[in-house]
Amino acid sequence: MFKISVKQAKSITMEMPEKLAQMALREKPQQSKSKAVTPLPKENVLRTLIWREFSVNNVQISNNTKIVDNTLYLDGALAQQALSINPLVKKVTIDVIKPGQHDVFTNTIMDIMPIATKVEGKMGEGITHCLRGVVVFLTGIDEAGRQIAEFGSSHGILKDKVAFGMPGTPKIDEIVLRIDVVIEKGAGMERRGPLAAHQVCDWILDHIRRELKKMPPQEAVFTQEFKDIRREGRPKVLIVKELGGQGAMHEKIIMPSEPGGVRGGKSIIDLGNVPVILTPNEVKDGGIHSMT
Amino acid sequence: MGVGPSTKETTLHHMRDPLVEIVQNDKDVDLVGIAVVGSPQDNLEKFYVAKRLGMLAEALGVDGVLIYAEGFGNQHVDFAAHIEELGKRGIPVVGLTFAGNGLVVENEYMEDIIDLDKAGQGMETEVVGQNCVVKADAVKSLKILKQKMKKKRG
Repeated sequence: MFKISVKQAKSITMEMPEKLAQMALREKPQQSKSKAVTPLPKENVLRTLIWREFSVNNVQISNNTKIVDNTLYLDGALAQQALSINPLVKKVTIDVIKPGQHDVFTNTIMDIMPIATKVEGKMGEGITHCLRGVVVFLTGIDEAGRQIAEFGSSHGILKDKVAFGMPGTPKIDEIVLRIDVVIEKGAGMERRGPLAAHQVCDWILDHIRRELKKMPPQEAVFTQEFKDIRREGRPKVLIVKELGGQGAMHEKIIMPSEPGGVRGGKSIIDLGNVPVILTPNEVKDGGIHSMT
Repeated sequence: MGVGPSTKETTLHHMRDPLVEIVQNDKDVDLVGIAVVGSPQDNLEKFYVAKRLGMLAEALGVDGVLIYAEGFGNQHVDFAAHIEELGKRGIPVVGLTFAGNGLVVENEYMEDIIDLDKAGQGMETEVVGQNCVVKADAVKSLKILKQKMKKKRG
């Protein structure tokens, strides 16, 4: 350590080895660095996802599927046709629960999903269309009258069994399109039972998705760009999601071909439960389908 | 034990995941990605998967991990194993899960666990979506993680 303090002086000459001077100089910039304001991170945009939402304020069961004047018409005959998708499914009922009519009985809620579709590009990039104001409830029971759930079934009066307004549930004023399935007796405890129910539901939704793809962009009520951003120089953070991977009701489908769909995806169980990396946009775009 | 209606994350939840949203939009961190990992039934497999996750985090060279576990009971065996594998490698971890009446297993690295029990009953309430991650949990966990990462850097 070299210190010098001078109160009054006219001419001072200081000499020291060059090494010390260099060291003193070297320390200086380091000190100023820690005091300086941290600069804005350099952002690398890897991919962009364009998200368009189309408002729906009425859902009707009709004789064909279309979206006209903010009304979604769904072909009622699809319920019968869907039975051929998987023989384990014995009966499908589609109905609409409007806001304020939540005082109805429901079988166990297997999943809640939005209706969304890819218009351009693959999952996590390109353009996605989504319906706002309507969500799909998949509920189910088996032929013997047993709720499809390993434990903790959520059957009962809808308004008591759903915490509305949470990230994973609809808002209280959203329309619920309920698809109720009856599967083969005893199949609810095996992986194939719930999977069949989800496949049938996905097939029905595919008909709406086909119409949703055709919606003109200017009719969207909400458009946003989501970017997969890496921020150079910032601390790297990894999010880990531990998902059930133990069989029926404890399963997830990773990266289906349609947002939140089933078709084209791989089960986390079949993937051996090992960690798989998804980008934030892939998750946002429905890369994880819940089978619980 | 496993995943119940109030703790399960629906497809809608994954798409609107507050945890992903908050971390992605925070300019102070660099989100490298979301690792999804299954929770197998067999204990040996659970440790196999945990080890793979540890190696993945090590290879990515991450400075911190936010880990969320769905369900409770035997799922917490993996949860604890994951945290241990990360902790052993000196990676700061913050966990989010439905602990309710406590976790079935614990270890020395599990000092920061955020309990998602919203109903406050310490048990599965069978109300869909009730005990899931909300924005407040996500903000809290990220804040704790930032402090831990800062402390580690010194």
